[in-house]
Order: sequence, then C-alpha cells, then structure tokens
Amino acid sequence: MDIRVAGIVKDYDGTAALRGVSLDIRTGELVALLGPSGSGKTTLLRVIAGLEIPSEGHVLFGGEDATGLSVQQRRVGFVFQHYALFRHMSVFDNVAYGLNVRRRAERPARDAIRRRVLDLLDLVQLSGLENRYPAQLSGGQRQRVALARALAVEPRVLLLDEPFGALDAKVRRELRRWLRDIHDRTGHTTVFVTHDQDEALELADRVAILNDGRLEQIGTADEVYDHPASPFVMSFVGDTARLPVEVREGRVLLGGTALDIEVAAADAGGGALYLRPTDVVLTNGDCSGLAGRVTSLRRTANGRRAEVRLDAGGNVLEVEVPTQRPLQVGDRIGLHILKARLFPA
Amino acid sequence: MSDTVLPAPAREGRGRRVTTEGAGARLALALAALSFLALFLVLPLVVVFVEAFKGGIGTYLSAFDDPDAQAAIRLTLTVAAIAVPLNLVFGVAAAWAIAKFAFAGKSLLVTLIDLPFSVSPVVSGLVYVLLFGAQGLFGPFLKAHGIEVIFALPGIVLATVFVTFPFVARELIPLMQEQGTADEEAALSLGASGLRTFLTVTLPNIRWGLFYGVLLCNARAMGEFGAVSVVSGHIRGLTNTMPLHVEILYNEYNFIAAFAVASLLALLALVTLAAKSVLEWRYGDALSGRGAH
Repeated sequence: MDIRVAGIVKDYDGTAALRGVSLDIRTGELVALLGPSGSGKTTLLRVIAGLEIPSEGHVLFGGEDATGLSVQQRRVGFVFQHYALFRHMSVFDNVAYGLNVRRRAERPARDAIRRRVLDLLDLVQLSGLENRYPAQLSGGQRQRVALARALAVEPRVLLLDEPFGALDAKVRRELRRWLRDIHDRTGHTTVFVTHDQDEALELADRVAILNDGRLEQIGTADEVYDHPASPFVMSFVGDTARLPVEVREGRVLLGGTALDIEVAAADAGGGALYLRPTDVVLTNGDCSGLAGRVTSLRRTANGRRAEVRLDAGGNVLEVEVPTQRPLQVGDRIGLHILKARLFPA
Repeated sequence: MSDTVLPAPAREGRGRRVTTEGAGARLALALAALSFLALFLVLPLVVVFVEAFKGGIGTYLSAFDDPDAQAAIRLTLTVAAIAVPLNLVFGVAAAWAIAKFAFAGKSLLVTLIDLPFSVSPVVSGLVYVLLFGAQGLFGPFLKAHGIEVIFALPGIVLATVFVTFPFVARELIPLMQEQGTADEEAALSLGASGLRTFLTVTLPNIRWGLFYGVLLCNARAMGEFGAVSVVSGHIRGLTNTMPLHVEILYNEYNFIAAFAVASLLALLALVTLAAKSVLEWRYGDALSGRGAH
C-alpha cells in the first residue's frame, strides 16, 4: 500500500511542528524519517497513523484519502518507542489483542487466532515465550513482541517510532538487520523514525530528512550522501567542515587563494564550501596550493583525524589521514580537495 | 620510598556510609519518633478498645443491641454504599480527563478537586443547608415537591460525597500521568474502541491504585463527622451515623457503649491500614506507576 502525504501542517497551540510536508512512499518501501529532535519526524509519523489530526493537508493510503479516518479505521501497525506493551497481559494475549477486539463477524476463530499468534512469535523468534509477561522480557524481546502485535492485525502499513531508541548499541545493530529481514519477507510498506543517521542510511531504501518541520530531502543513501540538497542535509548525515568562499569568474577563492576545484553551480558572489574529512587528502609535501598547520591529531577506528588550521582565512578543517603517513602536531602540510559542495551563503 | 607508617584509620569510621549519623543520634531520633507515635496514635487506639471492653464482652456486645446503634450502623453503611461508588465514578472520570487530555480549565479542575481538603467540613455541611434547607435557595421548591434533603439521607450522602471526593482522583492522577497514553494509543491502533480500550487497558493498569483510593474513600465516608453533623439533624434512629451516635452516647456519659461503637470505626481504620500495607508491599510498583512495561 503506497502512502502519500500532501501539504501536512500541524500546529500545537501556535507552535508549528510541521510546516507543509509532502512525501510519497511507494508500496513495499522501507523509508526512514530522519531528523534532529524537534524536527517534526515523530509528529509526521503520528499524523500518518491517525494518532494526530493535521491542521492542514491530506494523508492518502493507496490513492484513497485517509485524512478523515480514525486510527482504528486506518489499519496501521504502530510500534511505540517504549513498546507500550500491555503489562497485565501475557505475550500471547498482547499479540492476540488486535484480533480479539474485532467484532464477532470479523474475528477469526479461537484456534485460528492461536495459530496466527504462534506463527508471528515464530517470525520474531520468540517461540516458547508466549506465557511470559512483558516485565519478564529483555528490552529487545519486548520490542519484538510489540512488532508481532502490530503485524497481527495485517496492517496496510507498518509505522515504527524510534524502534531501537531505548536499546543498547549491540542489540540495536542486531535488531536493525533483523527488521530489514522481516521487512523483506513480509513486504509491508514501512516507515520508521530515527535520529540516528547511520541507522537510517543502513536500513532504509530511502531516507526523508526533516528539519524544523520541513522536508529537506528524500532520497537513497547515495543521493543524500553525494547530492545533499541543502547545507543542513550535508552536515546532518556526516562530519562536515564549512569554509566561507568567494566565487569569481568560475573560480572559487578562499581568503584570496584560488582553490583547485570545479563547482557545478558557479554563481558569482559569496557562498560556503562544505566538505567531509574524507573529501580532502594530503599532498606529497607540496604546500603551494591550499596549506595549513596541524593543530591536533586524534585516532579514529580507521585512521587518524587531523585538525588543520588553514593559512588562508584561518579556518579549521578536519582531514582523515591514513595511519601509515607520518604526521605530528605542528607539521605544515599541503591539502588537495577531492570534492566539495558549494552552497550559496 | 619512605617507611613512614600511616596511622590506622579510626575504627568507627570504617564500614559506614557518610550520610549515616552516629549511633547516639540515630537512637535518639528513632526514640523520639516512636514515642511520639506511641503517645498520639497507638495509645488512643488502645484506650478505645480498653474502654470498650471495660465492662466485659457481654456489656460490649449489648451496646449493639440498642436499636439506635443498629440504625446508626445501617445508615453509615448505606451512606458509604452510595457515596463510594459515586466518587469511584467521579474520581476515575476526573483523573482520566486530567491525566490523558489537554483542555482549557484543567488547572482549575485540579484545584477544585482539592477543595474539599482545604475547606472545613463544617463549612461544606453548611453550604448544603444554605442550598437545600427550609430557608435555603432550593428550600421552597423541595418543600413544594415533598423532597427532603437536609436532616435526611440525601443530605448526608451529599455532604459525604463532597468531603470524600478527592480520595480516588488524588490517588489516580499521578498514576495515570506517569503511565501516559501510549498503552491506550497502542490499543486504539490495534482497532479497539474507546470503551474497550478503557476496560481492557486503562482499568487494569490502574486497578491497584483505584482499589487503594476506594479504600481510603470508604474509610473517610464512614468516619466523617463534621459535614454530616451539620446536615443530619441528629435524629436518633433516623439520621444518626456511627460517628454522630458515638458523640451522643459520650455526651450522655454512656462511655462503654460510646467506645464500643467507636471500636468498630477504629477497627475499620486498622483494616484499611492493613490492606494498604499489603497493597504497597505486594503491588508497590503498580501503585507508584513505575511498574515495568
């Protein structure tokens, strides 16, 4: 079931949480809503679910307007950040809840419910735990019960609010892979909210990046990494340095020095150059171009991070340096920019 | 390295937490607290039972042969049987509204819920006399239709409902606020109706807190003196509740009977206390709302 979100505005007593968000999600797609806290990503997910009523705009499921439908009528599977399992019910009763509350005419027979619940517990790898209570489960297990409960009602779309937010790093990584696997097997159109860019980019087919109630960009990991639509997207998906530059006659000038790069949108005037630590390499001793002095060195997982104070303009740039390259604080080095993005100031 | 031997640390400084006072201070504080409790809480309670059984078990029981005493007990039970269920419903409704919804006038409602605690019971009784009494606002209307409120059961119930209103709501509001609305949202998203959600999710989540609130509400409803005294008219065998009956007997120097009836009220307090302790010990997490999800 595809989802279309059109011009959603949501006000809370005069403060705008969403300022006109439009978004298309294709059938079977796994989409992440990514953004800093307060960006409106959870509000957007709740609007899609019908847990919040938008001030303006429409939500369409499969081309059909669902804006006026209640949360019960929308048939969405919603997984809450803190699981929201019913603590007085066993795992089995939690998963069966959505089937048991159906009207008699639509309710499956007792043993059909039982079979479905056990199948789902098998799918989320919790077979044998159906008689436990939520308090007797670990965080990761509770999250999987919550997912099985949401899947039990055969939802048209699956919505997850920070599904791994309350779990420790190792369990997060395991569940991430496992969720991707479940998604590929069941084929549900899935939207999940996260503030963790690694999680979003690793797990999702496409990532929608929100900032201050607006959609900044939606695209694949490659698109948002390599063609960020805005400085915000560029700096949100990874470490970024910003260099204020001037553009004259198609050349980029940093503090008067011409940089050896080509920029696509070479508008004359001011602007800012955004680059990542891996977009810059050290030259072999040639300091005639961009150059600076190393002010600090840090070990990272794959190499070293050098902070370089540039001669031109005095800006500080972070550079990824291979471990085998000898380098010390105070060294003067030349730099070569492999690629960078220019945004108007 | 020097060979200087460090002096051994003072022995009494070992193995105790920095926040703990010395043995003398601890003993003094504990004694002060315990003797205060003994003097002002335990001793009066003991006196009630000692006085009640002064003339032996036979005299004690004969106090309940008095038809007026039986009428007082019946009336108290009747009033509690009406007032407590009413406040159960009001309390749940108020707590539900305050904890789960945002609306204009919410803080006013919270203040109003506390009003019966801050108003003297005598005043709350007088208010009903002024409203429903013979010279009151609705007096002529009630008289014309032959409805008795003041000096009758309806007035006593009204006064009791007013005085005991906060107990259930006060107990539930923090609990429901702590639990939030995620469980209800989960139930709704799974297709449950509002009523179904309330019955299968909200109510089980608050059941122990609710039970505790009802227990306190009931204890107060049976024991209320001030407000009921103003509206009851003290008609023996008709509008006397147990606390009022105790007062009448006491004023008539019928001490044994007075303490015998009082012992029933004291017993109620003890049962409430015991039930409260059991609940807190067994379901402490559920009562505080910090229960694991």
